[in-house]
Formats: sequence, structure tokens, C-alpha cells
Amino acid sequence: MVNFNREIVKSGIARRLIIYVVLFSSLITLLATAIQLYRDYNNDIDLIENELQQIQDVHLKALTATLWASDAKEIRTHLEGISRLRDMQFVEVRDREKVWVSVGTPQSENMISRQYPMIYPHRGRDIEIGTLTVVASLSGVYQRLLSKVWVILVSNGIKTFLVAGFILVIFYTLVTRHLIRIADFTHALDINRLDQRLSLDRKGYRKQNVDELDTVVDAINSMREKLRRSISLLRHSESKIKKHHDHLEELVMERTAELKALNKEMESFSYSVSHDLRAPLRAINGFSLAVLEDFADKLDDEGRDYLQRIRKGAQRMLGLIDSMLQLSRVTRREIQIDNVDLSAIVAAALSKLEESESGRNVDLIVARGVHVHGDSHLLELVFDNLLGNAWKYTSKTASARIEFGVMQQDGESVYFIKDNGVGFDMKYADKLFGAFQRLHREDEFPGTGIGLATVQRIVHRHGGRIWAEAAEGRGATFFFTLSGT
Amino acid sequence: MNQASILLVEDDANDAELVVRALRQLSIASDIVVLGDGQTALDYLFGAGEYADRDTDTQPQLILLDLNLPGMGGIEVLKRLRENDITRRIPIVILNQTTEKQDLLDCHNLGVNSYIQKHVSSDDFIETIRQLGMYWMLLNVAPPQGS
Repeated sequence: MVNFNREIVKSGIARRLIIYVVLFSSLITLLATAIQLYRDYNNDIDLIENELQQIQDVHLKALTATLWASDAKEIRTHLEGISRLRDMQFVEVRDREKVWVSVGTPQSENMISRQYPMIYPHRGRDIEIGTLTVVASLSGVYQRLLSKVWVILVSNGIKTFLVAGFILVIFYTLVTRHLIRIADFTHALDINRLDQRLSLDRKGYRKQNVDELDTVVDAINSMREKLRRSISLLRHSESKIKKHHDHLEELVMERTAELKALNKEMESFSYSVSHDLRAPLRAINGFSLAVLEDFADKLDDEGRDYLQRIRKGAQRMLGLIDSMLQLSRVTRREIQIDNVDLSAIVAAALSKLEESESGRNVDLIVARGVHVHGDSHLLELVFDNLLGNAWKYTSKTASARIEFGVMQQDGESVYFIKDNGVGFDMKYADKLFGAFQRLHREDEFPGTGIGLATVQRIVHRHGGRIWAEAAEGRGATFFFTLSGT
Repeated sequence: MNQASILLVEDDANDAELVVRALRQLSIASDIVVLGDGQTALDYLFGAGEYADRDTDTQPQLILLDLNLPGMGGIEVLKRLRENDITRRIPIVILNQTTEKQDLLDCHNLGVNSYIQKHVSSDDFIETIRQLGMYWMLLNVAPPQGS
């Protein structure tokens, strides 16, 4: 029934408990035994004293009379009677000259010796005629005490052994086995099976009495419960996150597909825009010209002016469509990175401008040997637009000046196009790069309002930034970086 | 020279009219035939369908071909013409709105003689047509007919 665990008995609390119990009980036993022995010893001594008193009371008178009569035989009989009393070792009667009778052998230690004077009353006066010596041995007393000690020690030893064993069993039954169970339970605690309650096998134990073990069990169960709840919470949020994650991937894929479809749609839209919108405009434009050429004589100046206005409107619309297409192409076009000579691109763009409008005297400053990694076609568009703007907005400046350069700022190259043209008010700077945003009147400086939007998209696609600094009437400078490539 | 003729395959009536007007002003061709789709153009050139009685020994000296045609596309028309002995040597000039990379590759792979973008502004367009007509009809020496 009792399944002792050797280790627990050897080193456990039970062992220490037993040692303390045995030590304490032995100490108490020793003390009690000592007191008992002391009392027994005193009792025995008292008994001997009583006997000696009786001898004095009963025998002394008779012996004195016998000695007076010098009856040695009678004395001997008397003394032998005395010596048969318990613990009496030696009895002797003697007078002043000799020993009359002695019984037993005297011993010099562990004894009580008494000498009684033998006084005989003779003719009215007491005559001391001899001495009675009685020696009582204490050996018997000691022997009895010793055997008593043995009995006490042996019985106490047996008792202590039995008590220790009993304590061990009780302690094991009441505490140790539960502790082992608790330890085993805690060791085997698995985060995947936290719903198993810890319960102790405590038969015959009334449940309404809550003791320390119940408190421990309750504490462990509540800890387990808390752990279980936290872990389930954790699992829950983990699965939620995973779901979100999966969903996110799904979402990204979905969106990517949507974007691809949109892109395709956009492409076909651009195609039909370029094809279908341009054709009617070409007709408007072409037939206006045909009317001007073939029927000029049948129209007056006003009629011809109206036709010119029709043609201008159509041409402007064609320009807008082309700019829009260019903007959307810039966004869709795959970037092809090469080593690009920006100085050459700038020079080519400027010479195109000079050809288009000969007769203008513009001071051109172009930094030499500026190379970058980028898409040459897109960068050409950037400079066509920026230099085109600079060219356009310096058209009314007396000594026009356009500069292309590069500077180092915070470890990156910043490219710039600087002019001394009309500039603009910096409070409109945030409108600058929006599509169809214009800061000047069409009849003053014609344009579609798409150029800078296109430039910004190209710069962004190169991982760069673009910004401008300007003041009204004092020119503008456009800065950009291409750091992403 | 008055026998010379031009075939224009163009479905956009406005564009066709502008082209015809520009070419007429040059007086370089006695006849400018305008057809609106690819199949009709093939029928005309090969003497098939409604042109079954046409004499296929007489062929245009220049074909102006739009790529964006209803039904059979310009590329397919070009391919058929280049596959056929009768039409193989006729100069063909593509007139198209766009210059899509694939169109350019396909046309030049099929041995097109020229690829012209219909210009954005019609002044340019008309001027382009005039130069084109001058070059192909006056400067260019056409292959001999009928052999």
C-alpha cells in the first residue's frame, strides 16, 4: 500500500522530521528517566533507612539484653535474622574488647553503615556494654536501578522506532505522496494539454476542511488556468495574425491582378485615345486648311479668322492628347537603366530649341561630363520639358540665361536647371507638378500643363526627388536627384 | 505617266479625302482608287469578288495602306500582297496613326517600303502626303509592270 520512495525517505522532509522527533523524544525520555531514577533511588534509600530504624527499634533492646547475658548463641540467631533482611550486608555486635558475633562481610563502599551503642540499664544507671554495627549495601539498589534503566531504554528505543515509522507512514500518506503527485503533475505540464486539473487522491478526508495542500493545489490549478487562458489568447491572436497575413498576401495578389488588368485597360485606352481622338481632330484641322486654301476668296477676313481659330483649337487639343499619352507612357514604361551622359542630352535639347526659334540670344551654361545611371529616353523627356520651360519663360527676358549644373548636397548629387525668366510665386510651388496645373496664361506662355507632371513621374521612377525655387520676375531653378538608381 | 494610279486603303473617310486632295493637287496620278477595307483591297488587286472582271495586268504604282482597318488588318493585307507574285513588287507605304513597336517590326519584316505616321497636325499631314507622292510617283523608278 505504502510505496516508499527511497530517495524521499533518505533525504526528504520525513527523514529530517524523524531525526528531530527521535532526538527530541529521546531527550525527553532521558530527562524523564533521570527523574524517575532519582525518585526510585531516594525511595530505596528511604526503605533502607526505615529498615535500619526498625532494627534499632525492634532488635537493639533485645540484643542488648542478650549481650548482658553473654548469650552468644542467641546473639547470632538474632543477627542472622537481621542479615536476612533486604540489602543488609553486615551485622556485628562487639564490646569494648572483642567482637562477639559478626554476620556477613563488611564492604567499604556503596554502603550505609550505622553504629548503635548498646546501653543496658542496670541499677538505675545506663551502662554502655557494646556496639551494634549494621551495614546496608547499596549494590542492590544500583542493580535494580540499572535493570530499570535497561528496561526504559529498550522500551523507549522500540517506542521511538515505532513512532518514527508511524510518522513516516503518516507523513507519506498525508504529505509526501501528494507532494510527489504535485511535482509529477507540474513536470508533466504540457502547454497543449492544460485543461487537465490537478487533483489529489485524499480518501477519507473531509473536503470542507481546507488545508495547506488544498491551497497549493488551488494555486497550481489557478496558475494552470491562467496559463491556459493566456496561451489560448496568444494562439488566437497568432491565428488571427496568420489569417491577416494570408489574407494580406491574397489581397496583394488580388490587387496586383486588378492593377495588371487596369494597366492593360489603360493601355488599350491610350491606344484608342491616340487613334480615335486624333482622327477627328485631324479632319477638323485638315478640312479647315482645305477651306482656307480652296475657298479663301469666298470668305471675308472674319470667316478666315474663325477658321484659323478652329485650327488652333484643334491643334491645341492634339497637343493635349499627345502630352497625356506621353505622361501615361512614362508611368507604364519599363525603366531601362544605362550609363547616360546628361551633358550631351542637355546640349542636344538646347540645340533643338535654338533651331526651333533662331534669332534668340540665350546665354547657355552646361556643366560638362555629367553622367548618371538612368533611362536615357525618359531623362531626355525630363530635359526636353525642363529646358523647354526655361526657354519659354525666358522668352521675354532681355539677357536670357539658362544653366544646367550639378552640386553635392548631403552626399548626393543634385542636378539643376536654372533660368532668369519670369519665375513664379513660391506659394504656388505645390501646384507646380500636378497634371494640367498652369501658373501662366495660355496666351502669355502656351503649354499643356502636363510637362512638369511628366518630369516628376520620371524622377520618382528613378527613385529621386524634384523641387523648385523661384521668385516672380527673378527666374526659377528646378532641382532633382536620381539617387534611387 | 497618266496611266499611273495609286491605291489608298483607308477606312477613315476624312483621312482618305485629305490624302486624295493632297495627291490631286500634285497631278501625279491619273487615278486614285480608295478602298475602305483590306478584303476589298485584295479582291481589287487579285481580280476577285466584285472585281472579278478587272484586268490584273494593270496594277497601281503605289499602295498607301492604313494598318488600322475593319476586319482584315493592314498587316495581314501586307502579308498577302508580299506573298503573291502579282503584287510582290508594288511599293507599299504604311500610313498609320501610331508607331507601336510591334507594328513597326511586323511591317518591316514583311518588306514594307516605307512607314509614315499620320501627323498630329494636319498641316504636317498634308505636307507629308505631298512629299510622299512626289517621291514615290516622280523620283522613284517603279518596277516594270506585268512581268
